Amino acid sequence: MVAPAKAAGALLATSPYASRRQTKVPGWAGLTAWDVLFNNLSLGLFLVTALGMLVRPAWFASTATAAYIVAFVLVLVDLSLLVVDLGDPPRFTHMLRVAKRESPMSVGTWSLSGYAALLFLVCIVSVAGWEDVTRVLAAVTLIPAAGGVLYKGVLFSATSQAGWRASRWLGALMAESAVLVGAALLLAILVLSHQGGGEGASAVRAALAVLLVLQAVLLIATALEVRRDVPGRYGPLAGLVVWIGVLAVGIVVPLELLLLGNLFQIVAALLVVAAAPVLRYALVFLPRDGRKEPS
Amino acid sequence: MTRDVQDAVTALSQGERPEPPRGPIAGLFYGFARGARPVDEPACAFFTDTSICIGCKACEVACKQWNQLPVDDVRWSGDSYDNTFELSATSWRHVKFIEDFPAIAGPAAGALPAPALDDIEAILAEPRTARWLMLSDQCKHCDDAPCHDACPSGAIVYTEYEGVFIQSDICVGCSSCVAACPFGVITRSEIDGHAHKCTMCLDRLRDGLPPACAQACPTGSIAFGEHREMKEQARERLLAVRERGYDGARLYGDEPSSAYTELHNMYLLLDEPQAYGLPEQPVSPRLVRLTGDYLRAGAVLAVAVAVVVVLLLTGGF
Repeated sequence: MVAPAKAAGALLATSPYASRRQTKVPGWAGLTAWDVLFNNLSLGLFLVTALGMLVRPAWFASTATAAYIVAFVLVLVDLSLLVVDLGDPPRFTHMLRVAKRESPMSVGTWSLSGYAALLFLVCIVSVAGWEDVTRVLAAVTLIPAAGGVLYKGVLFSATSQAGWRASRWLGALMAESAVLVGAALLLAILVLSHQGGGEGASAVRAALAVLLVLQAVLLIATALEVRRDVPGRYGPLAGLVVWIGVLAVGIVVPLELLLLGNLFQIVAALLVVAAAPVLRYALVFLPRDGRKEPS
Repeated sequence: MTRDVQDAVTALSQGERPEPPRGPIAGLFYGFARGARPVDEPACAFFTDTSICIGCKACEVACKQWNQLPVDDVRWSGDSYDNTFELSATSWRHVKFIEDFPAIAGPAAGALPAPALDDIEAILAEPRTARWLMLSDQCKHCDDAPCHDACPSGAIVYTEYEGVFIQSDICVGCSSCVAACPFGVITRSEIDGHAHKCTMCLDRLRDGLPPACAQACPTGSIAFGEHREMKEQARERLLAVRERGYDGARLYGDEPSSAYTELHNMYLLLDEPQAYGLPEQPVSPRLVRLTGDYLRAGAVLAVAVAVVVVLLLTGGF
């Protein structure tokens, strides 16, 4: 062994490994972004509808069944995407062989399975017109639904991946965003079922406005957290354009439209839903920051 | 022959082969079957002494040979003489080359200074301006492994030797373990869709053999044995290396920190961990982030639900 010629630490400037990514990015990409979207749409729509039926049943009685069925269809799409996204889809049942609270994916698997099964029953009894049973079942379904909302952001933030690991508010952002898109979807359903001028729509519209402000705060907090950890896949300018675009199209413009009253509320709701995939794509692709990888 | 081997040979001779799942219905329930719990064995560990690694890659070859892993695309990386790149689903050992050669400007750029061949004394007296460090990398077999925490199917288990083992017949290929590993060890295979990594040669250990890489290493750079003994060996070696002037030498993974547990694969490094592509301070997502992230998400969800309920009660504004 030869005597050391250089001080320790000098290698940091020349080692090819010093600038290389230390982690492997999982293959979570477009399918995952859509899975997050359908998860948020279904759970958010169910949460807001169930809360409406528990607090003001008279306002939402005529639209709740449709909302529950839409939520069920959306969760079926979500579950299908989750299964297809696996490396070995036919083995999806293996996810139910253990329950691990330290694994967000396991928490999500059990929450979504319970939620989907209970929501199916909610749809059945709601179509049958058993209002009291529907309300009790919907209240019970809120528990797995909350689990399904909470795990999604934590699935990303509680990892070792660049960007996600730096964001302590990513789970909060996703959870709030689920309620936000759910409220927007319910507002759209209310308007399309000719109840846009009713008290239910008025309350949901107001909730949507407050949730948009909260979303803006969480979005800025998340962007500030991750910007030091992720230089930006396409450079800082493009990253900035994405974040500002989401803020403008998904938050500021809908907020302005909502404050104008119920005239443009359907446009506002649709804008919120339309911006949702962009935000989820931006979040899911965060670790793919363009740092040097072996070619 | 060990007891396990005798049992296995007896079972096979009597035709007691494990039944693979047959048909789609059997496949659905296959993962729910449980085998017998193995008898506890002493905790084992690797100690990789990078100061005596010569970069021969015999460990890589032995690993591939024993585990019957396919050959990877062998190319030049462009920034070192390394031609096998990184750990992957088909490369469970990888020898990193860290080449620290002086940059040469002007017409001779890219060439090393020519030694004075006619004067051996002059050669010996030349200042040492270049270093070529090697590190044989593999799974760290963490004491509390993030991949094990993250796995939703229970496919990742601790063996009786306290190694971390992926049961590839259970793995669903969700990639949670890939996202969780702070060392970039685990990879999902493009061939079968399952996660793969070093097994600590569990099959060899059960047969009383050392891991293939440790057996193949010609310099003793890769040592394997009981965890306690490996720790002692690592500390003795560190003292010896420091006595020879390597003040920057350090052990990696021999002690737990507030953010990570100890490793069952310790390294003696001659420079900063980042120079070898290792995180300076690995962080366990479960220990450091999981609970707080859930609490923050829960608090904000509660606020969002409260907003909806209050505005439903007041009728909006």
